[in-house]
Amino acid sequence: MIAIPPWLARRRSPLYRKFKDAEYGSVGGQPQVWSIPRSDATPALFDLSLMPRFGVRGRGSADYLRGLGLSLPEKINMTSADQDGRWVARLGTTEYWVLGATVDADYLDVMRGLRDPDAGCYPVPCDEGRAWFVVRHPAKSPMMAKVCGVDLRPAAFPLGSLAQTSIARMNAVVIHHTLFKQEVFSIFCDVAAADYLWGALEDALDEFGATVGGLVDLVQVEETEGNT
Amino acid sequence: MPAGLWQRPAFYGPASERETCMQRESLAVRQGVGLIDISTLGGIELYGPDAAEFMNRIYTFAFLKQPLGKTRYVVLTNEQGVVIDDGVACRFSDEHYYVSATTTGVDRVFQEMLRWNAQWRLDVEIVNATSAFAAVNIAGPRSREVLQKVVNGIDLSPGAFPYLACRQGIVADIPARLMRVGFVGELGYEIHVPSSNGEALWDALMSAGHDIGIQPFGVETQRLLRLEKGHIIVGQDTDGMSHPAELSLEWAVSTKKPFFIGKRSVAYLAQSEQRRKLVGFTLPANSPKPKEGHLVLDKDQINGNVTSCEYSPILDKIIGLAYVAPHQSRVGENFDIRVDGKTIVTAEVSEMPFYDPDDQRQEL
Repeated sequence: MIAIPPWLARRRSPLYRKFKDAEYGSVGGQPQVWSIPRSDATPALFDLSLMPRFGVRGRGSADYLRGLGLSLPEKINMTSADQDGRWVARLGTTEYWVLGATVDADYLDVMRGLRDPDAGCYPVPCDEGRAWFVVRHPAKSPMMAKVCGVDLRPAAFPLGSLAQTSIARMNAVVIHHTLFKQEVFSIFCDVAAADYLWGALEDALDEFGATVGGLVDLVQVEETEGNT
Repeated sequence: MPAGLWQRPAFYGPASERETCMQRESLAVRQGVGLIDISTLGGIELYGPDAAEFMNRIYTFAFLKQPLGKTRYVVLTNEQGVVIDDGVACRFSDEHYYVSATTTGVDRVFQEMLRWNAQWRLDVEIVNATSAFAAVNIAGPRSREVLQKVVNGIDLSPGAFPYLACRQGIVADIPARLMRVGFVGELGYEIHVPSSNGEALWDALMSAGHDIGIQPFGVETQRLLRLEKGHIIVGQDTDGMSHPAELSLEWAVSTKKPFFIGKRSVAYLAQSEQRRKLVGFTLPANSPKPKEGHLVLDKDQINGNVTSCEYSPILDKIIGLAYVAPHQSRVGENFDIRVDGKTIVTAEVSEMPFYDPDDQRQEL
């Protein structure tokens, strides 16, 4: 795949300097880490920081999102997904994030542009203010137990769950969902702390023989986690 | 250098050449153009029908009639009347303010805003957008010339984009918010962009200014430049007792509006007998240079302390800010500072600001 090198791109992931040997691909118009030279370790940690998403908050936010045809979670700290690869996370009474890793970025931009501030629907910068990591590994729950106090085992944290918690002492949002037909944890943290938290997660992965991967690894179906 | 939870460039060059680097950088800003990364500044978005009313209750100044496209200086006092933060408010629509806060203070400001509105129940959404924006300040008499090369959709002429205005447009193909503010006392523009675009913005501006010698400058240099202009830094030039009257910030306090946090205390402190005053002082260039915290004396009496002090290459003097007793605060008065616990130097209270007293340069 051909992509503008990240150091020349208009948008750059906070982590791009970490991937010196990576091959980049243009995904959603952005330079994404496509592949990283493989070792024996299993690719389990992925940077999706430039993937499309947007957030809204305000008394009119639910009506706005329903008007876009999205189904909304009934409760706070839950997510809902649709057939088109978009999913909605509910973080507060009136705060929602629309996440679309598998969706055309332009499509999501159009949706974002339909927001009406006069109707009490205001932007939340979950795209620019947060880094987005994905952890995918059969042992992802024990991995996360090293850095997060919340019980993220499937029995306690089933698909669709969302936790607003701290990971390695940084405020973070963890979502358990499916991505490319696989169960993953998506992790959102303050973009200014991305470098630190990425390092902490890499360290947590290491003892499980896991490592960093590119998008080409993420789209490959791996064995999903059981009740660990 | 550490700045709250952040690490920021103090200046650009070897640590052993601090003075040389700062002088080079400050003169570049005064005579040409400089660029500083100010992404660590706090950024808070306020949306909703009650946004103006909320601003009016939180900050000391008046905001209900703040025009669209204009900035306004903000001072936050606590219920005891103590100055705890400052920044700049941009009004982009009737229901949308973008307010900056200090690097170290923004989390506290955000929490205070949430806490107060839990009581007031105003129809306003408060979003801490600090990490969502990267920002730079391009400053110096040639800053407009550089910015002109990469801006799109904004008329930079002084008439169309005057001092203290704010605009939204495109810079280097990036959606941007621009503010003409003068923290360092020169023609300058703060440019705020989505954080993922921050490096691209920096690269574009450095490239656009390359031919005329654009100079990156760091926090230490910025502190010198703002000191020359007499601007305070909350947390450095203030402490847990500083109220607006001590800091000569009465101009940023509205006494007409019915309420702001700390209004009664601010008024009480202003009417009470003053115990100290923050003043500007000068010393000859060859004098021992006081450091922050060094004591201001009146014979054996400790009257205050130095809060900021640097050698100014453009003025060829040592300049500083210090708390002194009220009777020492008149322009032209002399007062003693004990430097490094031994040498006594006699400083002179100066008219403020030290540099460009008529504010002509920032309004070019």
